[in-house]
Amino acid sequence: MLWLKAWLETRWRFVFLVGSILVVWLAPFWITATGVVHSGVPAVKQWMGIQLGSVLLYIFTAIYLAGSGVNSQTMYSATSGFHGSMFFTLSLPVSRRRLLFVRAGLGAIQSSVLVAIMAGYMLFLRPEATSALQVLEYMTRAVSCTMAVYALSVLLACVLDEMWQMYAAILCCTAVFMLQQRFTVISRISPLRGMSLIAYPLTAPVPWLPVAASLVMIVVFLGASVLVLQRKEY
Amino acid sequence: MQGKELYPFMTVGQTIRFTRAFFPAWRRDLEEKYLELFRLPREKKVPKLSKGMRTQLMLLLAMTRGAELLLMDEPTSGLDPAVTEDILRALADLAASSETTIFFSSHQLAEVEQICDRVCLIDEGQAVIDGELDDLKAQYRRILLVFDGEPPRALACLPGIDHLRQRGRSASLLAHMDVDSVVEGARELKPVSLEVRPVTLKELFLDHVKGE
Repeated sequence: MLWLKAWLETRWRFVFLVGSILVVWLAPFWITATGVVHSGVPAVKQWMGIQLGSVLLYIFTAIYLAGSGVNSQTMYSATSGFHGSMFFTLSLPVSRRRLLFVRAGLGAIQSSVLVAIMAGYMLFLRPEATSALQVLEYMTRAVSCTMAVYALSVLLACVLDEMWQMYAAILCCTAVFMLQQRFTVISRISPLRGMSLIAYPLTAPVPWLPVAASLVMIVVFLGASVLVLQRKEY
Repeated sequence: MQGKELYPFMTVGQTIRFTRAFFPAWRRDLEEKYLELFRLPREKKVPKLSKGMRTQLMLLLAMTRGAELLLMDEPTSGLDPAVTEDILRALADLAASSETTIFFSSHQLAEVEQICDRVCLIDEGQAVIDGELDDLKAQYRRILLVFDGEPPRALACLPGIDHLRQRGRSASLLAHMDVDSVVEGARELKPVSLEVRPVTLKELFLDHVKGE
């Protein structure tokens, strides 16, 4: 039943994201059909633009679904508006850990599915993969790196109201993006680079470091989320 | 009860099914009974319900879960008299027909008096009256006296009086426990009229808190 509740709560966000992804998917065909793009722009650059847009969409998907996944458990939105039913949820004989597990879990599944489909579509647009394994490899790293952003967003959603959680998550991603430009260490482990086909093309060696760093971040952020929720006073 | 915030994305039926899943001792018979009594439409979304209907739905969810103890904070706050009556009747029926103990706080003493077996009146964090309602009602009496002139000063010295209120030629006593001897003592002061009345919870509360 908690899964059903989480789905009912998040379904419109999911539908909105599917719509947004469809817009991104259809954009290349629309651009080609209408000749909006100057004919002098090479196809590679067009694809890179779409790839960049997709990475941004991975991040947005993670942040948006994390917000809906756990935000009704935050302190500020617990008693009013759409998320004003937290006291009712807390009155149920369910542990906070399980509540977090279900709600964050559903958002993680939704994000993973959308990111995997988007990642696959990137390869469909510019099929540089030579084997199914390569496609799987990219989907896996796109999902795991995006899940690091998702886990961070879950943690932020446990301490901040929804709007602030989104701002804070975007701010963190921007900070990581800027730091990875300056510091090689961060660049090597950054999930933002790990999820990109521009930073690591399929022809390059598999970037295990950002994937491993992402898995560590997921464990740390979700663990911290559980601790925060269990100690929170409502 | 005061928040009355249920899931806005669920219907009445979904909310009931959702809550039912967490309580193995859920009473389906009571669920049907209260749905009918409160006239709650299963297919209606929660935000479309009136405040009274939302309260009734909350009560349904609380009363059908098979709990041994229900704690309710102002369950009838802000509701119209008809809905309040339905709710009080349902609470009284539940307490009478099952093993459930209902503990509820309210500022509406008439409601408390209507359905409670045991009451505790609290003023500034202190319990001023605590006991079985029937016992309290049996123990306390209001004695109304009218005299020819000013009420005699000896009235205040009668043993067993909790509070005395005087106005002109009349006096009102709140007697506790040994009411008969207070009445006897009052008769000896030769009042023109003497009337003994049962007291309401509101009177008891006002007498104890305000000393009126």
